[in-house]
Amino acid sequence: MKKFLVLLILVLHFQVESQALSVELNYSFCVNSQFDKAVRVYNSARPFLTSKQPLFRNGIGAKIGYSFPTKKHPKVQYGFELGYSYFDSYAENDGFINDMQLHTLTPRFFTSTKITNRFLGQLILGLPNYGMFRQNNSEAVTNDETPIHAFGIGLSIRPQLSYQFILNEHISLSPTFGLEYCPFQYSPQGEALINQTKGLYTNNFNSFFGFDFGVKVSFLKARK
Amino acid sequence: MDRSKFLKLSSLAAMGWIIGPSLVACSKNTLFENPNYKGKVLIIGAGAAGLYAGYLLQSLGIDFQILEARNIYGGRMGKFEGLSDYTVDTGAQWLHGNNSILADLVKKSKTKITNDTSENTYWFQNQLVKTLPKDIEIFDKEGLPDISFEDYALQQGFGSEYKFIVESLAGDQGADASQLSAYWNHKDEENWVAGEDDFKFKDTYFHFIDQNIAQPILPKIQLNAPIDGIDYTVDKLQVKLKSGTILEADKVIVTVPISILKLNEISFSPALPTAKTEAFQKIGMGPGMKVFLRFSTKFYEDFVLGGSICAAYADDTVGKTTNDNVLLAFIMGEQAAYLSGLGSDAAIIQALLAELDLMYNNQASLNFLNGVVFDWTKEPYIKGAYGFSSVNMGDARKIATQPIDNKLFFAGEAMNINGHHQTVHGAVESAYKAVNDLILNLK
Repeated sequence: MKKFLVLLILVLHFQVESQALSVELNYSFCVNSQFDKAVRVYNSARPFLTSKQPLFRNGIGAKIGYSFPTKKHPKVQYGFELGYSYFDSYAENDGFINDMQLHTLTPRFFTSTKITNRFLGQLILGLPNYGMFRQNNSEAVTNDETPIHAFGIGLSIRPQLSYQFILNEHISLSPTFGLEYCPFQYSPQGEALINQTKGLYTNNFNSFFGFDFGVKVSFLKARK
Repeated sequence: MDRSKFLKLSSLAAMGWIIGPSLVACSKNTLFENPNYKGKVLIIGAGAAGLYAGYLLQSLGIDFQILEARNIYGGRMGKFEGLSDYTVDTGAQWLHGNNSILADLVKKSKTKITNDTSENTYWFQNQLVKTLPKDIEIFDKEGLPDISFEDYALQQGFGSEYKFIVESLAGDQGADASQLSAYWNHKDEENWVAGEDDFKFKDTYFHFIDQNIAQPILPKIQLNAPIDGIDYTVDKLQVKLKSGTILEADKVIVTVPISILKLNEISFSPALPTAKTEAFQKIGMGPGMKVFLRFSTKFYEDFVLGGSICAAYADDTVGKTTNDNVLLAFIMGEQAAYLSGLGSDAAIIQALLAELDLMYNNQASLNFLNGVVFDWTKEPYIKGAYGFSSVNMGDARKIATQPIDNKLFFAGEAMNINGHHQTVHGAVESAYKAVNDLILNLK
């Protein structure tokens, strides 16, 4: 954790010095066909649960990015960003709490272009990494004395629009809206984690579709 | 329309096309909320699978009736109150793992269970030992051949001195070591995701199922209704009872033990496909017996494996509130067939006491108070313990469980294709699978 924080501070410092840091917080909405099915099977197999397990739908996320202009085309920029999203499915039934979390960590490469003076369009390619975890009454669900986790990896494509409000010469604020589509491969533990079955109702090839909107703060100029 | 306007409209349409269905789909968190099915479903058998199938259908508002051949529901779960100061489980008694439909029901219903952490003791070369000279954990790895546990153990250098240790491992799967496939059993283990701990109910497993699943559907269970055959040639299926009564239904879910299907004790018209009947034959199911022995003192270890008369003895009072000392003899396969052949409960108990006397220096006979035998093989509508994966089994379990003509569905512990057969929670999962197939094929 300490190493991570030191690395983050160095990166932030570098990026601020490079005048192109952006930080974004967002709301995410996602549809995972296979996970949805597994959750639906979980619910329909358990009519005794009055509070149904919600689908992985609404999440929150954050991104940190760095962009740089090109010399030939001043309106076009390239950049990298690292995005994190968190989705939760939580239900409580008479003290029985079933909590499942889906985390995604996505390194992305993007290219952006100014559509108008304020409108920015971006096309983003990403390599999302997924991790799913589950607890019953705060205890990790285990098999063979090992907590069951499920992991996946995919390839995403994402168009995004943002509108830039320049607050001062250093900072701009941009509402953003993006769509994302991502086919990905999951470990068989995905279904096992949700529904305690393996490959019975879902397959490991999943597709994720989502959109998000958020607010991005960009640091336009260097301090020095 | 100019180019930029066209592009804008196209973009908006594309976004709507992508987002629209997702938003519509987002609200539904169950597979079949209101199937609105007006047909009738008959369920054959009121064991765990039959009861849970009924419980699911009731929650969906679908008309159903359960036909049970015996005079009691519960299948291979049962209870007996006459032995000691607590009620014993005559059939299934451990909840295997805490990740399953039933484990969730335990948590939700706050049913009291205890993790059975009894440690193994082995009866090996006429001595009780805590560890074996060679590690017998040879059946839990990749690349095992499709040969029996017995043959594989011999192949790996575990000679006759390990025979009854191997029998105890096979017996845990309800099988004889000579019939249980090392390969297919391991495949099943790979699919097992219910968790490794074994839990015992403070009351009984039967009590738990009765209170939470059977009671809500009690009026729908018809006892003493053994069936003769099922005619599925006509639109309305006809189920003929041995009493001569004919019942009609739109769908039938067969949940009887695999032993009953193997013995063709239910006739199907037309005959079931050959592949299916062959699949029934390939799924193993052997004899099984539970004997409870009550003693004045506890002179025995919690869990003793390797007896030549009974390969597994377990302290039955673990997880119970009791002042009594009750030892369970858990007997499967050839050992169960041998004891069953002795002819009387007294002879069975004597044979077990003789073995325990050998292990514990005559303490068993000295301290014995009373005992009771439950021979599941002699139950006319059960005829055995539970399904196991036999040598050359292949995809038999998958074939056996496939629905026929979208009218006949199959469930039960032996029909669980997710590695959870042999268990009550596996039977419940198979019931869900059958109901799932039934409902989804209505559309």
